[in-house]
Amino acid sequence: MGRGRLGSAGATEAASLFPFPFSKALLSRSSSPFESQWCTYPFPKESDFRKEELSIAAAPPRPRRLAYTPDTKIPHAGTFEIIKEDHTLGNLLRMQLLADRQVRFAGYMQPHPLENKIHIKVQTNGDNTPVDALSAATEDLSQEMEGLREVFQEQVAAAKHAAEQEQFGS
Amino acid sequence: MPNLRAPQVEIVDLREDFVEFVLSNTDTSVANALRRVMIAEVPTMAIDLVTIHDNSSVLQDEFLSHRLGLIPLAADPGVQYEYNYDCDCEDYCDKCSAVFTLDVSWDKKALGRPEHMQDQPVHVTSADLVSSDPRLRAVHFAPSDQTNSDISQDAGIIIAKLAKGQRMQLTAVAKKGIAKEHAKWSPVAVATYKFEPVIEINEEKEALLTPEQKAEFVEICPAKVYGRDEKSGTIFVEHRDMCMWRRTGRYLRRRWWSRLLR
Ligand SMILES: [Zn+2]
Repeated sequence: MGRGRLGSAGATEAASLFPFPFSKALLSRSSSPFESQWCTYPFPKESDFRKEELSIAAAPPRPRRLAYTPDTKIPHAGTFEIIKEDHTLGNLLRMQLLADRQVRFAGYMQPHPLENKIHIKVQTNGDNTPVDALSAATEDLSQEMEGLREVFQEQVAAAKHAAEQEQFGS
Repeated sequence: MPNLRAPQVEIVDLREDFVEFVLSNTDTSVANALRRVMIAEVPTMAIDLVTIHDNSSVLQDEFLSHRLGLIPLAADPGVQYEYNYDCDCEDYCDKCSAVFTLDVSWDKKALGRPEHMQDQPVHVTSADLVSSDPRLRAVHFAPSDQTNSDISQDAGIIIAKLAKGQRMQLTAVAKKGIAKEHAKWSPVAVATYKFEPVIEINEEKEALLTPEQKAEFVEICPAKVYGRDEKSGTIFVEHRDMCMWRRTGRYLRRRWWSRLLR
C-alpha cells in the first residue's frame, strides 16, 4: 500500500505548484491509476492495484515518464509529455520526427525552465498516428546511437593501434 | 526503419584526456545531444557529504566542503557504483560510496622541514585525501603501475593553506551523481562541437592564373587559409579551420578571380 502512495507523491507535489486545473490534469494523467483527474485519494483501495504491484517480490512500479494527450481540435495530432528530460532529448526527437515524411509537424518545448519536463507536439498526415511516428523515431535513434557507439569504439581502437605502431616503428 | 542513418566517426586526435573527432552522416541534433550528455548526464563520483572534525584554517566549513566537492575523482576502468538513492543501504555503503579522510596539521608537516622553511604555510592538497576504496581516488593519483608517470607526478589540487598551529581534519563521502544536479559531477572540462568548412578549389580556373596572381591569392586571404606548393605553384587549403568564410569571400568577390572558389 505504502509503496503505491510513494509512487504518486512526486506528481502531487508538482501539481500543487500550479493552482490552475489544466496543469493539474496534465500531471495527474501521468501518475498512478488510482489518482483521479481532480483529486488524489490518500488511501487507495486494494482493487486500485494490479496483482504484481501488491506482491512483495515484484519490483516497485517505476514512475511513468511519458504521457500522450491527443489533440482535441487537430486531427492526427497530439502532445507527448516526457518527465525528467530536456533539450538534449527534445531537439533530438524533433529533428528525427521531422525527417519522417509522414510527420507534418514536430516541435518541442520546455514549458518552464524550473519544471523538469518537455512537451513534444506531433502531427502526422494520417497514414499513421503520432504515437507510431514517435516510436519509429526513437527506434531509429536508438539504433543510430548503437551504431555510433560501435563505430566510435572501432575508430578509437584503430587510432590507439596506429599510435602504438608509430611508437614502436620509430 | 525508414530514416535510419549510419554516422561516421574519424578520430583526429586522441590523448589520455582528450579526443577530437569528425562526426559525419548524421544530424546536428545528434552532435549536440552527445555534447550535452557528456557535460551533464554522464555519471561520475564526487564528494557530496563532508563531516568536519577540526578546521582551524581561515576557510569556513561550507567553503571547504564546496571545494572538496569540486575535486575530480577517478575510478578504475569498469568500476560501477550504485546511485546512493537506489542503494539498499540505510545511509551509505561500499556499493554506493567511498569515504575519504583528510588529516593535515601544520605542526606535523612543518616538523620535517629544513630550518629556513619552518614558518612557511603548509599546503593541503587533493593528495592528502586518503580513500577507503582503493578503486577510487582523487584524480591524477592513480597507482603508478597503471598510468604514465608524467600525469601521476602532479602535485595535487590545492584545497587550503595552513598557517602555524592550524589543523584540518575531516571525513568526506563521495557519491555517484550527474551534472544535471550539480556541476561537480561533470566528467568533462570542455565538450564542444563546430561545423567544418568545406573549401574546394576550382582547378580549371586556377590553371588560368599566372604565378603572380596565385601568389597574390594566397597572400590576400586575411585568415591565411591557403598555401602554395613550392615546386608546382598550385594552391591548396592549408588552414581550413582558420577560414572566416564571409570576410574572405567578401574581399575576394570584388576581384574577378574570386570565381576560383567553387
Ligand atoms: Zn549503499
